[in-house]
Amino acid sequence: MNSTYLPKPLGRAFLSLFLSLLVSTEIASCQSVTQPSASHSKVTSLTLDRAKKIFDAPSSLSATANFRPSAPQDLTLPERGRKDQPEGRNDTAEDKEYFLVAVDNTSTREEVLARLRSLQAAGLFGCRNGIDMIMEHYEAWCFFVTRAALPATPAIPAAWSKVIGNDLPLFAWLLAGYRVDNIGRPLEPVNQLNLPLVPLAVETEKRFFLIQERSPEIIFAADTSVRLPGVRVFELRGIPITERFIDRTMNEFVKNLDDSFKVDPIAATPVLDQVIPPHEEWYQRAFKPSKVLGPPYYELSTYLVKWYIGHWRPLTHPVGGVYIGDDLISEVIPSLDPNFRPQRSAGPPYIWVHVVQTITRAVGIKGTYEEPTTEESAKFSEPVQKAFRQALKISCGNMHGSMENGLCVLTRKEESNVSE
Amino acid sequence: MYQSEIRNWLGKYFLIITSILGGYILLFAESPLLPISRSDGNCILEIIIPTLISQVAIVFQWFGRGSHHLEDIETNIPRWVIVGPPVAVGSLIAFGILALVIGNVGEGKSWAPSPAAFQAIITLCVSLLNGSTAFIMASLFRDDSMRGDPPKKAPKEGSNA
Repeated sequence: MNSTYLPKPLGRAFLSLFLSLLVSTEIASCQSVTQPSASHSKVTSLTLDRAKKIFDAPSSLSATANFRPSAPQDLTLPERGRKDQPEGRNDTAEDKEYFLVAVDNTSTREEVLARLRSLQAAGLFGCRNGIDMIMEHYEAWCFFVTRAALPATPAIPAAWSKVIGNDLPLFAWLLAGYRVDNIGRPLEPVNQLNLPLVPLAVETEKRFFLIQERSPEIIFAADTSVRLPGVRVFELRGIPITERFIDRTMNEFVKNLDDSFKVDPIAATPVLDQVIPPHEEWYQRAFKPSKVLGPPYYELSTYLVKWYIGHWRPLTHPVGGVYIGDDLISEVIPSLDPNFRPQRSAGPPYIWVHVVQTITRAVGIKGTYEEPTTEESAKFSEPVQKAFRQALKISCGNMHGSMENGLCVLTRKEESNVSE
Repeated sequence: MYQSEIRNWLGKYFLIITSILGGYILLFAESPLLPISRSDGNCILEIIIPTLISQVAIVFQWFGRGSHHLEDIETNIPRWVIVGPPVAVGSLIAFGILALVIGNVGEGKSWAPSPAAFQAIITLCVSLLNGSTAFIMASLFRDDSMRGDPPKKAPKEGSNA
């Protein structure tokens, strides 16, 4: 279906130059409306150009070619963001502010839209290593461009509302990140704290706006706390949180999860041939017939099982507090000494688990792998929950724990039994 | 081959292939009988149906005008020129669909054509028809009345054509 294509390098360079000229002309013609004050000396550029640069830059990894991620669920258009950092760095050193630039010329708008559509058709691109600032490990990320429908009352920045006026914003073009495994298969959307959404354009009922970014005069202090999704799975009643006990508990749980996930209709196997970050387990069903949806559907599905325990961070860490559900599991400590531990307990003695399921399906094995509809997603959720509960029940039994309201309670007595 | 014979053959061919292909794609897209998405199916219809429908329209317009009563003459066009392209197109489409279906049975085969490859086959078919049979159609289903020539009378019954 996607007949759009990216031109050859020479043609692409020419197109890029032509579009830049067109857009520059357009920007010049609407400076009185949207440009920052004349006294501003900072260099400005279009976020679309940034996306194009990422697309053109050599990629350290090639992502699955026929995967098309959908727009992020949590869609809040940012008024400011971060400049794209070189590979392996995503600190907050260079903040950016976003401004709207109206594109009223019809032919320019069509050219820009064609450029956006070609980036969207490219799927995942510009893969690189990034640092997960929450869990403190390296991950492989790729970028993608998507067109997201805005809700009826979209949360758009105040500065943008002034430019848009009474016009109704309908769609936003965004540059977002997708976490992939070591061979480029999709894992999960990148947490926006690690890689914030970059708005590229906004379509309103009557007009079209590109986004311009510039360094702000004032560096704003960022709200660095983050809340992670997850459920309480093990309660360590009267048991101190030791790495050894947690490892043993989770090894047992993961062993049973392996068995539960292997069974139809999930039929996913643990990923054993890749380097997986600590406190994670990956299951995959790649390019296989979908047992949930049946023929002619094929799946490229990943189930990430993550678990969280209390952990400590240095004061200089960009993420201040990490919460799961209602609980604080991270505390800032005034020392870089790795042996330092805070006096009070870092949150209740629970092990939290979060299962991220990235389901994509295609019609035919060589089709385009897209995220399923809501109805189809629901069909996947049920067996995953069932497998999860079953694995937990078996693990709890094996560790002589007791199930209380879906939670496995392990006590000191049981710990000694397990130790034996 | 007589002109009437060719006209009948081409007319039936275009009617049958348009109906069968259109119906098959509309009914079976996104099913094991045609493992491509509905959007890919619609895209394929958009590629081939205008060409096929235009040929059907030419045929029916010609017959609708009553032009089939006109003089029938024997042409010296070789049979393969008439039959070859439509048969090649029909075979290509049938083979493409068969490869799609078999290639996506069970675990799926590495040689299974992608929806994009199937679209390319359909585009090739359209090009093939446009580059061959379309000219024969234009010649055989020509509307002589549009050129201002008086229509030739049909031969009297019993006389040799």
